[in-house]
Amino acid sequence: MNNDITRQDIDDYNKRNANKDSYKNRVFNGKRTTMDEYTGEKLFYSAKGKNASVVQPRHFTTKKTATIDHVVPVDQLKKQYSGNISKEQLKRIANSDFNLAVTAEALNKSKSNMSNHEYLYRQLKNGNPESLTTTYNMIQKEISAKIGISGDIAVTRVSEKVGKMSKVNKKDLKTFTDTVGGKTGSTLNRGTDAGLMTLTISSINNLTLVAAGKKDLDNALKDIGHDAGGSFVSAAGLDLVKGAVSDIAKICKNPKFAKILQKDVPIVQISTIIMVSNSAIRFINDDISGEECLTEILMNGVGAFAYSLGMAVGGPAGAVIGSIVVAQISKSILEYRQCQKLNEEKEQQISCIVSEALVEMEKQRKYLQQIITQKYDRWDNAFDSGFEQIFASAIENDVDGISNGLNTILCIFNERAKFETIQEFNTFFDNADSVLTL
Amino acid sequence: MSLFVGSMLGGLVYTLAKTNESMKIDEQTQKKYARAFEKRAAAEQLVRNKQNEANNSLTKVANRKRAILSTSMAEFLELYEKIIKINFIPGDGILELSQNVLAPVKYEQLRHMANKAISPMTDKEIVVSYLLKGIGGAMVDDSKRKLAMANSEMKLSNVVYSQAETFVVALEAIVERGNRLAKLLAKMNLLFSRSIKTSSEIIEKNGIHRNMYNLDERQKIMTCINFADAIKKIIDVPLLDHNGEITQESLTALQTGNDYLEKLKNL
Repeated sequence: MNNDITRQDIDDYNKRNANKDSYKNRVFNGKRTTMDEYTGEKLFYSAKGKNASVVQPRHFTTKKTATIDHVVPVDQLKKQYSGNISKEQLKRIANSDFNLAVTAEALNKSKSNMSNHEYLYRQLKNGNPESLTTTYNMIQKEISAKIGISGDIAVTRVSEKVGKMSKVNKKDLKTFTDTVGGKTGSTLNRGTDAGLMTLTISSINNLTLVAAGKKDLDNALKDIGHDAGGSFVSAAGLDLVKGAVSDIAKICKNPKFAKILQKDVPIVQISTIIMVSNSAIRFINDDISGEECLTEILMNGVGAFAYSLGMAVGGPAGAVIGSIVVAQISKSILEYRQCQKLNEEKEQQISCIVSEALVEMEKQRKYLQQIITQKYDRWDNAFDSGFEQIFASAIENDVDGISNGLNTILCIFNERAKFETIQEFNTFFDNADSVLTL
Repeated sequence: MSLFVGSMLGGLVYTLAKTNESMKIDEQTQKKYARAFEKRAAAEQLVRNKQNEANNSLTKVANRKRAILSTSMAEFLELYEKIIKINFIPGDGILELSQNVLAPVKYEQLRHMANKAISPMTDKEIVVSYLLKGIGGAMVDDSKRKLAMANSEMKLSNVVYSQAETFVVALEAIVERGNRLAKLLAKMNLLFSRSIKTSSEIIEKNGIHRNMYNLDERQKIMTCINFADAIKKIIDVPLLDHNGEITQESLTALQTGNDYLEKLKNL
């Protein structure tokens, strides 16, 4: 730490924990419990129980008791910015909402003066990785914090320049930077998700095309910038991520990914992997939450592979590999979603067709039945009537009547009796040359 | 290695929970499939039974025709050829007797039509589902998919059964036709046989001298010839009326069912 500035100069414990409007009190808002901003678990305001006396030993463990963490550690802030901004500004930035997170005492102690990603990486290397929920939250908080810090500093610098030029009152200037800087940070916090997601999705999509040789790098970067332009990310934040994206892009040109072990885990690259998976799945199945999906992906093989591969290779190269793998997953998931939609549509279609079919087939069957009944009723009537006539005519020795009876029967088959009258028969019978054709 | 072991642990609990759900869905699916297959089997049996009935009816007609031709008709021809030249031309109904043609309804057609058309979950879908939901989740997804397929199978079976019912109506028409023809031939043959007996005495008496036949005798000869001709015409009616209205309407109704089954098959 710089000898001119001490930790106590930067840290503001009261603003974090003790004041009435401290970050901790605002987060808890009068309640006994709240959610850990990293792990999502329930945290208690105090280590002591509800009706505990002052001397009571702690009731809740350090895993369940809340404390306020500096997302970007004070030491790192001092190291990075103490030469550029004043002590007061550094103090304000370090203790701004965007750089604070309520978490468990145990985690905060374990994290010590590491950044979030360094802590996560250490846990991973020790074979004790944090859950995906924790990983995602910590990464996202770190990015938001860094964007907030960059934005705040940018605002401060611009304000100072403007102040100098227009001779603005120092007090007014301070009020302005406090207000705008603080607001920028918190607003950025909310907008980070949307902004970074747009940026990372676009990055992956475009860089995959570059890797596949379907787009050149310059156009890819232009499109990435264009896509991300609409999202709510500060210029400082954009530069932060764009820098990392450019690194990735450079590697894309090299088909052989060298195994580069780096000390620092590229947090942006990791967040890229995570957030692309998250965004891809989130809009596929509306009933699956982002965290749940990420947990499922990383805990079920492929995501973990991509993640660990990225970690093992390290650096932008690892991120590219991870990114392309995740892009493939995303693509498959998108296709699956389409398939699911089609399947649902298909189910509806089947139901529709079946209903229509059953009604129509029943209708046709009834009509067929009707025709059959009518036809055979006609047969029955003709046959009964014909035989009645034949028997009656036979009794009366009426040969013409017998012929008529036969006609009644034969007309069903569109035929008639050979000889309908005795005269007709006589004409035939008296002709010696006549031939009976049957 | 530890990374994978560590990361898999969390997924294990989730997997087990989802596996239980999958088993419940599988049970449901099995029941639905069972009902669908039962329905389809019932449809097959329905058609099979009626087809047997139709075959029996047509066999009865064919046998009756053969019997009349070989007895009464043969007797008539032998008798009357003594006094008249006879030109006996076998029609379709007689020719088909020698070919042993019976009901042409092909039940296999129904089976082909009724094959379900829903594609099973592809490997890719299973893999992607695994990514989304883990092994247990993929099983649930596949189980849900199979349940959906079973539901569709059930619906399809209803259409198959309906088509079977239409087949049965068409076959019933054949049965009705066959039974009536058989009954008609039997009644006609009774009259024909008696008439042959009567005219036999007359022809024995008068022989080839046609001018010797009085009016009453001529009337009896005429009647016998009319019976012979009528029976011949009825025997000439084919077992199945290929161009008749019932056949056409049966084909139309069956085609409607076929078209719907094809539509479902092609989805």
